Amino acid sequence: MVLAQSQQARVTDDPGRLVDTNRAVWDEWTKRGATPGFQKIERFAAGDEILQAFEIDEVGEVKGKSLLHLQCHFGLDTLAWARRGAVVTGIDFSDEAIELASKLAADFGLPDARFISSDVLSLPDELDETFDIVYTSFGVLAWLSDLDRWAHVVAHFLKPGGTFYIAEYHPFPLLFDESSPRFDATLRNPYFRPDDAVAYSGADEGGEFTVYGWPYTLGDVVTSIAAAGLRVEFLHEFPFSESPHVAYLVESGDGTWRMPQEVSGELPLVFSLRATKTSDR
Amino acid sequence: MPSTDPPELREKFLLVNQARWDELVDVHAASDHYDLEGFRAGAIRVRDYEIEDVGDVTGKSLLHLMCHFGLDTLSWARLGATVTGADFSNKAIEKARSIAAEIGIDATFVCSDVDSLPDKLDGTFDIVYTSRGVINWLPDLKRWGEVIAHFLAPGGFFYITEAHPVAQIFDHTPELKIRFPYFYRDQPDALVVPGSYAQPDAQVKNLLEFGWSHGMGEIVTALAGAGLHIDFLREDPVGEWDRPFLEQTEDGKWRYPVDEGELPLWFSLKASKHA
Repeated sequence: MVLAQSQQARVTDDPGRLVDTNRAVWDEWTKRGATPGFQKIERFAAGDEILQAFEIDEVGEVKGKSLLHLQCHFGLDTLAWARRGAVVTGIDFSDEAIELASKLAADFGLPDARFISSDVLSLPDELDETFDIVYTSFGVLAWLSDLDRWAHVVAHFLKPGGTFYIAEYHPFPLLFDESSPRFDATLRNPYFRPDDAVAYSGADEGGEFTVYGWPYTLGDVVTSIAAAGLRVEFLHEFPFSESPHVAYLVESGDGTWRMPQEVSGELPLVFSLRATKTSDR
Repeated sequence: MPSTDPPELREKFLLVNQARWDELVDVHAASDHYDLEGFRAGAIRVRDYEIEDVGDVTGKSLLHLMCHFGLDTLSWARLGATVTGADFSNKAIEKARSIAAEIGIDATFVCSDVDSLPDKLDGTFDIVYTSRGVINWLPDLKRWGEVIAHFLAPGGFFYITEAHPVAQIFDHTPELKIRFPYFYRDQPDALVVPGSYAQPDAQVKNLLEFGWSHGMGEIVTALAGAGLHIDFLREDPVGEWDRPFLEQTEDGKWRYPVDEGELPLWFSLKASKHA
């Protein structure tokens, strides 16, 4: 979602407390059906594929494979993988989201889909299994207070030979004013961030809110995954997004969102990375 | 991404680039930027952070791809490595050999572009190294990754330190303006460049150069796809290249004005060939 970001401030509070605040906001957004994910329920109910074509292509065949979806929100993408034949487990830190996910699984006739309420970083305390695939996507990384620990959690839950896959918004477009509908090449946000959280204040129909994020660079993501012992197979960058996740993107007619035409050339808006837990280390 | 431009056309682009780089050898050898006199007197031209990233090279074999006239190659030799440098400019290789002989370093220099180096050089190396202004001269990054993997001994590693692809998209103007492509395109960008980065007022006859854009994902994937294990990718807000929208740091490098934001200007990446 585009957080109508009115200001940003560095915050040095205990990350656990900030995550609690975020969780309360996500619970509230979920109760109100206020996130973009809700707009996909109808399409999912009609039998449409809601996963991105490149995700399906890059993750590969999932039939009969166990798949753990980290930060699954209310589980619609998790259920989409279940429909493609995966044996799915979705986890999210919002109790409201997990409750809705379980309900949707029953409603859509996918009763084997399992949903667990847990923060990613403490998931090893809640779940004692390994998976063929660990998957996570779109708008997840900035909610993590510790990327190195996240990467270790990913590696922890993979079977030897298992695959990690992430599709995520690229950090590049966030350099510019992401809440402006007109693209301006002036730098608004630094690419590199301190370890402290950043506060995002905004407002929507439910009133004013503040959430906290930890923005990461592309290098942070690659290095954290590599340092957790996974072998990076590819890092792909795409000149389109599946949503107007920054306000200056324009709809391109094929269901994707791109840079406005007056900006010369195509820019990286989304990235995907696949990595394997090899058995040689 | 595979390249589909006809090979004979690509060959022409590379010949234009080669003519320019041949001419730049003498210009650069006489420039303050390369400070050949200081190098003859014993200078180490590779940077402290590179030495830290690469680690102790004593007794190790090192292949330097796109070495120009070899000052960085010979710096690694001064640090204890047994070095081989490769460059597509014959003039650059001649100059590298003469400098090596002059300062008494036993080094091997091979004239070859990266793509065909496996036909001209035997053996494998503990370290394959390349740096500062290499990526944009390569039409085919997939081949580049394969050549690097080919020359690495099992247990060896590749190290690159280079301008960040994001920094390369902006025009050379005081205001940030997006001009150059981020993603690879078959058709290279043609640039007319008077002088040289090392000697801006030099009278150079070969002004034309062709360059290919490659995004960060393409770089990582070229190496990973060739079978290497990525160890780290570090991005840096401070770079070595002057642009009108950057300001100089105390130690002579360049960064976006501190109060106005931060761009990724440089990156370093290490990848290993597992035994």
